[in-house]
Parts: sequence; C-alpha cells; structure tokens
Amino acid sequence: MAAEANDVVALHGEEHATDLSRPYWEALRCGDFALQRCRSCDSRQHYPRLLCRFCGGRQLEWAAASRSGTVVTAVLTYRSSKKELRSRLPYPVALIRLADGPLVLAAPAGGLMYPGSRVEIDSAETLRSGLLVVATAAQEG
Amino acid sequence: MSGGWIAGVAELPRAELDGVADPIGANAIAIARAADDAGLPVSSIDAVLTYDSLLHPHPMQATKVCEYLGITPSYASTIGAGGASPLFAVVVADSLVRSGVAHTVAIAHSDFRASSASRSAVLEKMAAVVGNPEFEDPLGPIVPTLYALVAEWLIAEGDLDREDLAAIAVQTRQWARLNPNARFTDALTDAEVLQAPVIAGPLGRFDCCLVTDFSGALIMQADPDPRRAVAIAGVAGAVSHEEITQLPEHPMAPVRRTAEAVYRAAGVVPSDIDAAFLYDSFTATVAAQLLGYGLDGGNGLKKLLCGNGIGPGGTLPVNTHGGLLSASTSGIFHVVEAVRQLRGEAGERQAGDVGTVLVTGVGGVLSHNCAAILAGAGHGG
Repeated sequence: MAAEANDVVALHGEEHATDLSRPYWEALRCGDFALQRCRSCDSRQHYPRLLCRFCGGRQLEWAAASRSGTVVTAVLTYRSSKKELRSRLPYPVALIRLADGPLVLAAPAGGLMYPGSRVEIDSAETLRSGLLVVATAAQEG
Repeated sequence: MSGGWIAGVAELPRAELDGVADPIGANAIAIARAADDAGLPVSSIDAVLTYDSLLHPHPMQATKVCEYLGITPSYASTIGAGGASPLFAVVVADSLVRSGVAHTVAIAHSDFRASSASRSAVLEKMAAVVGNPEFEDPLGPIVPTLYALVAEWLIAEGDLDREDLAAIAVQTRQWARLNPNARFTDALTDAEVLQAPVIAGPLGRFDCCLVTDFSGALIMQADPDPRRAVAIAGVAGAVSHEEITQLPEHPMAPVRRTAEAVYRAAGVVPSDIDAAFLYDSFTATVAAQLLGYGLDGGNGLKKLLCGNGIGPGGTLPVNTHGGLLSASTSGIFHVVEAVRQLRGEAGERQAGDVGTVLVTGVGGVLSHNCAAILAGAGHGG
C-alpha cells in the first residue's frame, strides 16, 4: 500500500549494499524475504557471495525464502556499538536459524526469547524499525 | 623430534611501558631482551613475526621492527589471526624451524591501548570491525555481545552456568595477585563477579578481558641450549568462520577438532597436561576450551573448578600469570608464562613440577583456534 512508504525508515545496513546484495534489501522493502540460492546444489547462503560456500558453484540467483526460523540463542546487550540504539539499552539480540539454513542476527520483537522458540521474520516491524525483526511464530491452529 | 624450541622470553614491566608508547620500539626492545634471555645476539635472528598494533597499525610492521633493531633477516611478517595471532605466530615459527627455512625466529606483540584516549579508541575500533557491516553491525553488537550469544548457547545446553564463569574469573585473579606485572591484583569474589555490571547476556564486567598496554617477545630456535629451552611437542589449528552467523557447525566443534589434532601431534592425552594457558578473551572462552580440550576429564566444569581447581593450589593450574582477564591483553604472555613454568622459574606462581603444558590462541568468536603443546627439558619429545 502506498501509504506505508511514508512510514518506512532507513533499513540499517542497506547503506553498505552492493550490486551483489541489493536484491536482499529490495525484497525486504517489498515486505518479502529472499536469500541467495545456488543453482548447482540448491543451498541458500547469507551473506551473499560471488560463489557458493557449500559447493563452490558460480551459478547463483536470488529466490524467495521461508520467513520461518528457530531461536538458537538470544541475549540482552547492555552496550551497543550503534549510538542510535543506545537509548534502547538494554535490548535483545538473537541468533536465528532460518528454515532455509542460514543463521542471521535479528532483533526479537517483544523481548528476550528462549532457545528453540519458533519465530518468523516480521516484515512490517522490520520496515518500521529499520532492523531485521523476528516475532514469535503463530501457533499451529 | 626436530621441531622448534622456545629459547628466550621477555615481558616489559608495566612501569617501563609508559616511557615507550611506540609499538615498534617496544617490539624491538622486547625482542632484544628475549634474545638476551636466549643467550643470543639479535644478529642471529633470521625471521621476525609480529602481531600488529590495533590502533597504530603499520603495513610492514615486522619489517619496520627489523629496521629499528638493525637486523637484516631473511623473513619478516605480521600475523593476522585476531587474538590467535601470537600463538599462531608460534605455529608458523615452529614450521619455519622444522623445515629448515629459518633457524632463529623472533615473535613479538606490543600495543598501547590503556590511556583514556586510547582505550575508547580501542573499543570503538573493535566495535567497528566486529561482525558484518551490512547484516550484523546494524544490531549494534560489540564483541562481548557475540561471545555472550555463544556463552548463552552453551549454558542452554547445560555445559556450564554463570557460577562456573565466575569461578574462572575469580581463580584467574588469584594467579594475577601473584604477578607483579598484572594489571588487576585486588581480591575478587564470586559474588562480586556475579553482581558486577552486565555487559551482555551472562557476561559481566569481570567476564571480559582487559584493555592494557603491553609488550612481550619470544625467541624460537632449532637447536638451542636445552637447559633453559622448552620444546614444541605439537601444534594444531582449526579455522572455522570469522563472524558468528557464518558458524558452519556447533561452536565447540572447531575447539574439539584442534584439541584432537594437537594431542595427536604431541602424542599426549588431556591427563598429561600439567598446566594450561588458554586464551581468555572472556571467561566463556576459557570454559569452552576447558571442555573442548577435555581438561575436565569428562567430569564437567563444576568438578574441575570446585575447590579452586584452576587457581593456585588447584589440580589444573590455568593461566598462572592472570591471563587477559586480569594481567595483560595479549596471548603472547600465555606462551611467556608457559615457558617460565616449564623452566621452574615462575617463583611464587610455580605450580610444582610442570613438564607438559597446553597453550592456545583464539581469534574472532571462537572462529580461529590454534594450540601448541610445550614440553620442558627432560619431558615429552
């Protein structure tokens, strides 16, 4: 919806984007989630590279990726390297294992999460806060 | 065995460092003193390896150090493996000596990080290089945040708890109290560690390494006077990843791999280790290595640490100089202290008859592990 564009803050990290990584950010801005995929071995990797870290393959593309993941570990940090985040201290940082394989560092919505918690990339919150946000996955009904 | 021997060591006293404030000059004088300790002229050095200054790096630091010393060896280079660099320099030097490429290798690490202007610059610099600028740094983790994630991971798996981490800090400090050159020598209790300001996750102020000035050096030789030289019985390493999200496997896996390889190379088992010098960027780093190198004998950390187990008088002395947690911010002193212990020259800190020791280096977030087993004259080999 066009109105959402006014609410979008800068996506932190996008200022470092290269031609190689730009599709990741474009997907996030559209409310989607994409990872680099190797055509030879079908692996997903993140951060994107010029070759596949698993098989060395050079045929890489971007593909829609599952938003689902699991919390591997999460901590509250009382110090931050980012001046703009210091007003939020302490804040939680989580290491998430995405369903498609890669690990990512993300901001858990709603506070610290336990290892093993099922989460999903929350596009709306990501676009609102500018950080990659994961929220507790909806329970299977 | 035709490996390297560490023939000389040197550590600049804290009081002298104030007057130096130049990593290149400090490396040079430390090397000269290590050469004195080895009974050698600096002109006999045919290779120099250094770990560069964090704040005042030089693109050819080792070469510059040779120029300062007035020597013209065959080889000189800085080693870049993060915190593992000093120990990795030992691994490289051992290879140079074993292969006959070099005969007398100097290793040095000096830096000036502690003055108030330097200290904040150090922390900012480390924060600037930690993680991935595009995908990790935006969340603002500092190095302790990343180690806290690993520590919390191991805690959730039941391998250790905060009390174990506190015990490591306390027992390391007890050794530091016996080291006139250690930065912090005040008594420290488990309660103080547990109640200290939290930095991230389970890691508080006393779980994190210091920021100090320091200068130290080693001389490795092919055929030294064996009376005061210690032998490199085996070396090993495992490069796993650099940034935490790129961990290809469980964080303990590369530690265990390095352990298995170094014990095999030296022909020893964990119970042969009389003292261990484990890179202690954080208490969690020590905990992971105590487990990964099998130093708990499979009985778990609590049993090992109970009754001051790794402190003075304990069953397995660890970091008898006080480590990065209490003494000084470089892994080169783990090697220096290991040599002192093996020579029987550790004075008040002498942990009995020390014949076989393990020394480790760790870079990144348990990313780059390396290890060496050293044996004193009349032991191992």
